[in-house]
Amino acid sequence: MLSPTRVARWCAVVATVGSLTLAWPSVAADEKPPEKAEKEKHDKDKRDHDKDPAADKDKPAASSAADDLAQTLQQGEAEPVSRVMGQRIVASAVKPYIHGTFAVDWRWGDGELQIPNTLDLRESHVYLGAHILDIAQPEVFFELEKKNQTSEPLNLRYGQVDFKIAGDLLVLRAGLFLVPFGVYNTDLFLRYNAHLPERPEIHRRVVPGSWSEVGAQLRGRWEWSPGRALQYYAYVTNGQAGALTVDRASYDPVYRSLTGAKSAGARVAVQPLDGLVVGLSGYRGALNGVDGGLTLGAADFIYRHGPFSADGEAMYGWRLDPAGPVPEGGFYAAAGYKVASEVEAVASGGGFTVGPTEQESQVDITVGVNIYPLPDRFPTAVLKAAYERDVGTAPGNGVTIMFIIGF
Amino acid sequence: MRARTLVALSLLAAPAALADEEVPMPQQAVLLLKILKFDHSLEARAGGTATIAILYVENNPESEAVRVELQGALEAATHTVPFPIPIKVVRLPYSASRIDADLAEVKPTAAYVAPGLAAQLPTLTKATRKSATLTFTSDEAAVRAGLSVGMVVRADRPALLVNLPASKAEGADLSSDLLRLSQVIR
Repeated sequence: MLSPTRVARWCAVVATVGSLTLAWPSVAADEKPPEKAEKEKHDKDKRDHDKDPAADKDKPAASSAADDLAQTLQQGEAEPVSRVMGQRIVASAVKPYIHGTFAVDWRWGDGELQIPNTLDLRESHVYLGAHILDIAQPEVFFELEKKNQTSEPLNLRYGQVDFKIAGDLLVLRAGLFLVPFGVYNTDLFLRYNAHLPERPEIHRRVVPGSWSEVGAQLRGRWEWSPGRALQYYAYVTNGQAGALTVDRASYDPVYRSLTGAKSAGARVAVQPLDGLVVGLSGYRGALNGVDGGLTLGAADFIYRHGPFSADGEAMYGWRLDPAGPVPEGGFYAAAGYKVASEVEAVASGGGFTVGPTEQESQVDITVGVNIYPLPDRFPTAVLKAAYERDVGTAPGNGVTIMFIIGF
Repeated sequence: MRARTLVALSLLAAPAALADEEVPMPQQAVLLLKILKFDHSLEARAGGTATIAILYVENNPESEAVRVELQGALEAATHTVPFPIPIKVVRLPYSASRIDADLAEVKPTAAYVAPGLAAQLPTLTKATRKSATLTFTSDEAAVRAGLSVGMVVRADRPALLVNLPASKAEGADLSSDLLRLSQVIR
């Protein structure tokens, strides 16, 4: 029985055999394949050289060049032409890349930190981008994870493009970007960079984590001597929309401004000593279309010296509620000490307030240990184990064991 | 039988139409420089400097993309491939009315013909023969139509296709060592 699949297979076989049969006569009669042409030409050259012995003296060099060319041909490989939407692009001008972080964990908590014994895909982050002629760098950051039964499995956390106006001194960043406020959102956002498994409470309760907005930003870095640098950022964005609850700052970026309200902010960070960076940030934001709906200032630092490292941030400000401005802010400080290149003891303390009642304030302390199976290497991996204690009117205990890879 | 042949041909034609492979531009640049050294008349044609022109069509995205990529690749290759005389890489937008004057002014030793000039080959080859400019391309059909050296693909590998009469008409004297490594059209 001849099925259509068998017919198709036989056609392919016939085509393959036919191609060999058909291809051979397609070479023109006066066209010589390399070896035959070479033999005829070589014989002719030999006759010529017999007539002119002086011609032989160039032969070793020519032979060496021929070997070199033959090697180049032999080692080369054809490649597909790079096209986008059918149009050829200058492939060598674009160096695409993909990076990511994946974090899985086990958590348990009671009291304020009530979490049933659960396994979780905490982070499945993918960064796609390209370096274009060392001038432009578009990058998107996708979050591919479900936080609960109803959440969307795919979120665009940022989609930005950097244009180098004057090298690293002045870069224009545009699109949806992480707001350069404080040290955490600027330098420590990647989960394997932070000391602890969980983000500081202020980056979940006071401002959203991740905190991204749509706008334009000028940024740059000036290194006036080795190890001494100044970093600067200034930006205008559409602001945020959403609500702040006791559990979470559930703000989203405003993708298209409805009222024209804008946020503006700036950050300056200086590196006065090797390993120390201190920064100041300011933000006056449009919240739910209201100019000045959220105003915050922050001071922060990072310090790294040998096996010891620490970072911290304090932010304070107010948000406009119908009843009037509500003060909010908080702080965190985290430190780690590497007792060996693979093992680091870590500790952190922090607190926040998002309103005048006691229930809207909290202090927490965390201790833990980080294991680095691939110390001082990238791609990297970290196993983090931490115990957190919330104190105050709603105490709680939480345990997290998290495994992270970054590539 | 005729139907089977048609089926076979259609199956053959389909991958060929979809195939869009070429020798990567950095390799083409290296090959071009290495091939030029097999021209016994190189120094006589070049004078003190070997000028390599990239002939392309302005505002043709395919042609412009090849021009940009090859220009960068050639400039990089000049630092890695030993060459007996200095090399200069120039770009030359094609204009049927100006090609003779442009070639006379630039005096290229070699010219790489970017895509988009298939219809212009009669005029173009007439001009390159007049100016003694050895032509290179990655387009096999263009070599068969009168350009001199093709850096083409055979079984996923780079291969050389030399149109010997065309190369002679363009003033080149390619050595037997090169022809031994090439498929030659006589």
